[in-house]
Amino acid sequence: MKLFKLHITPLLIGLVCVGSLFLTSCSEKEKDKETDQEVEIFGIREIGELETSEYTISKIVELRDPPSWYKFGDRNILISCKATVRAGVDMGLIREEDIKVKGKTLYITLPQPEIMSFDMDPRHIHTEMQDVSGFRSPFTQDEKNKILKLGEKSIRANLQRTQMLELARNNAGIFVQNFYRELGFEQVVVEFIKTNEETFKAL
Amino acid sequence: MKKRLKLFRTILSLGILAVLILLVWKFCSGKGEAEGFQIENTPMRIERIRNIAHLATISYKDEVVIDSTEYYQSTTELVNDKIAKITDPDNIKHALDPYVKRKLTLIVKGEIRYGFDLKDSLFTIEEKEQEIFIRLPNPKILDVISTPSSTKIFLENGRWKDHEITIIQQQARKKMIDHFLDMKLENQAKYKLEKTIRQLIPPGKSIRFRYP
Repeated sequence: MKLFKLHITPLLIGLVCVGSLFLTSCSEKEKDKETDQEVEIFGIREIGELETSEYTISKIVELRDPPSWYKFGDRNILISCKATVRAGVDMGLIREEDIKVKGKTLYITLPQPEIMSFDMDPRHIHTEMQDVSGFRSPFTQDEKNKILKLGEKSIRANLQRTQMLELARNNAGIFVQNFYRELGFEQVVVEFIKTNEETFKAL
Repeated sequence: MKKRLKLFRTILSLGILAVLILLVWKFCSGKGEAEGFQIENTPMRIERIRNIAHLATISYKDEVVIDSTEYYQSTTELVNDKIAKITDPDNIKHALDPYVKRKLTLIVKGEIRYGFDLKDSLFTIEEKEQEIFIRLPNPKILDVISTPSSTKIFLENGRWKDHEITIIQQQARKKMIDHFLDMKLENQAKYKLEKTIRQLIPPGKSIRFRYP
């Protein structure tokens, strides 16, 4: 009886506490899901985007999953992937006042170039190496997808450091100049809408 | 001696309790093995740069569910697989299913960009007096876009190899293309292109479009 009082009772109280903690946290998760009402709307959209530069970028995603107090042994993985990124200008944003004609000269102001599409074809994703210690489970496809998401995030975050938008801007300018020359204009002056940064510099 | 033993037992039960609380907290906080991942800072390599001239006039966003199921072919296979699943923490919850050996369900969100390749030799502009003749290629699918962040592995029962998941993802992309082609948006794409080009040309000239 004494043994019961001394050891089993606190253990039971503890288990009740753990159980209620489990139920509370899980019901909170449910609540979060119910209140999340923002949904994406999918379908057809008319656009007018001129893509002028395409970059193919490759990356080796390296992950080291070290041991911790509740997992024994480590896991390491190397996944190679490729992203195809296209940039260009949104021709749909050009307004009537952005095009001016003076004799045989045409002045046009184009919107700033932007990233139009970002694709990671599954055919270009490969696990190059994985090393899993005996006490750990191998990487599941769900885990690999989560690792790839981090790789994708990293590529997206570093796109600004490439010359991609600059190339897209130059190519868009050349395309527009050629287009108007075919229409008989002798001189075509292409400008781009100034970014906030450029406006600030000019001041 | 008895007192020491009691003290030892109390400490031991409190220790077990603490470990249980920590394990439940770890489980309920949603931080499973995959949640705490942090990748190393590896470089990205620019493999190819291409100058293109694609005028995308239709963007179609879709979400498809794709499923692949494999059933047991014999009792021996069932027994061997059940033993493997019981010893695998990721698959222990699927050990009770008596029919399904492996099952993978993906939810893939993607975008199809449809329009015109203006680098095509069929794209020509000709001006005759007050009329402009623009010859254009037929519209085509310029890009099918899906990324790991737009792919959700809804259910994973059993171990799946990389090339198997690639095939399933390719099927998802094909399904999106089929949905898109069913809508027959060729005329809408042409109309939008003509509208975009008309906006670029100063008024006073009539424009005629030609397709192959």
